[in-house]
Parts: sequence; structure tokens; C-alpha cells
Amino acid sequence: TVLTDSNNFEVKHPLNSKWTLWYTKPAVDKSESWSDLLRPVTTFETVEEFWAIVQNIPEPHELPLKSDYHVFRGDIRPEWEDEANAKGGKWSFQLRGKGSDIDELWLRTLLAVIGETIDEEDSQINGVVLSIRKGGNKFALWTRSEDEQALRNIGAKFKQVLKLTEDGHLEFFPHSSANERHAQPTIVL
Amino acid sequence: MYKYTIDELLHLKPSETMTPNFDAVEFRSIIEKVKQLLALREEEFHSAHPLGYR
Ligand SMILES: [Zn+2]
Ligand SMILES: [Zn+2]
Repeated sequence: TVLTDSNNFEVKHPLNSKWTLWYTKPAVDKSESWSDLLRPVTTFETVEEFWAIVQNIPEPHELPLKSDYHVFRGDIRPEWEDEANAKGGKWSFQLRGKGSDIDELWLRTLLAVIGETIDEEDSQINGVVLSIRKGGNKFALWTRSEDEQALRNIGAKFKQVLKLTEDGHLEFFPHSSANERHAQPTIVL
Repeated sequence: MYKYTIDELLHLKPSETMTPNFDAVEFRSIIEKVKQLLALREEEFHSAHPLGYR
């Protein structure tokens, strides 16, 4: 399916949703509040817009520590208290080792999310987060519910996208346990 | 529902760099400034604590 832009005959491929890219800037001084640091960057709703954005922003390996990229559906804020997220959770994957393939794996994850191949019709996926941290970089796939069957299907597909052959690397955490010090995953794949 | 496989999306990637729908120059410069500031902090720490651990 294509849309034709009548102004300049450019072919555009529509995505199933509008998506918003957000960035969390690392704090550089103590006066900065969380709301100063988390900002929407841009929105996109076609494959063409997506590629133009990706081509012009730093890749994961170029980001400073404590940065996050968040790509969320529509107006959903990348905060677990947002009502779209509150009853759900996240599939969390921690990258091991030097992470030289972080750029490729992040791109694959984004493509599976915006292309809607990581879930069924009526997708549970609200968004995806990349976190750059000294202790280990992470990807998190945010869902709108804790429907176990749907979550297991998503988890299995996420494993394929990440080319994971071993078990134990994908953990699901409900957002309701977000404030617990030592939250345990409710599902591990 | 609009669905695209990973391969289909990769196939649609343009060969040239396209102009994005926002000011990416400004965005990249914000990140660059953060990196410079953090690198400066590292340097200051190491010269003040030559035997210090991070
Ligand atoms: Zn097409
Ligand atoms: Zn250091």
C-alpha cells in the first residue's frame, strides 16, 4: 500500500500508527528536573519519515551514558504512570559484552515494532526504550496489559528479533513493581 | 492494518541521506555538548584524583 504525495509525486508508505521519538538527556547539573530531561524529539507516520530520522540522529553506540531513546505510539508518554502503560509492563533485555551489535539489534527492534510484526492485530505494544548505562545497556518493550498469553507470544518474537538462542535473557516486569527495589520478573524466556 | 517485515523496511531504506522532519542539527549539537561536558568532568576528576577510582 502506498500514498502518493500529490505535490511532488513522492511515494510514501504509511505506518500503522503515528509514533513519537523521545530522548532522555543525561543530567549535567543538579538544577535539572526529570521534566527538563525527557523531551519529545519528533513524530513520524511513514516509513520514509522514519528512515530520514534514523539517518540523522546518533546511533546507540554514539550516545552518552544515561541517555534513553523512547519510541512510543501516538501521544503515549514513556512513563509508566501514563494510563496507557499503568496496567502493563515491559519485556526487558540486557545486552552483554562489548555490545558491538547494539546498533543493529536496536534497529531490528524498532523495525519489528513500527512494522507491527512483533505482535498480533490489536497490538499490546505501546513503545520501546533504549537505555545506555554504565552497568549495561538495555532494551525494553512496553506493553499495555499483563495478558500472559499475549506477552509470551510477544516475548517469543522479541527473542527472534534479537537473535537470542539461549533462555533466560528476556524478563517481563509489570510496571506496578517499578518502584520496588528488587523487583522479580513475572515471566522469563 | 499496515504491516511491514524487517526485510521490507530495510528494503525501503533510501541510499542517500534524507532530510528529516525536525531540526536534527540542533538535536545532535545538544548531545555533543553533553558529551563534551561529561568528558571535561572526567578530566577534572582524574587530574584532581590521580590515584582515584571511578
Ligand atoms: Zn510499497
Ligand atoms: Zn574515568
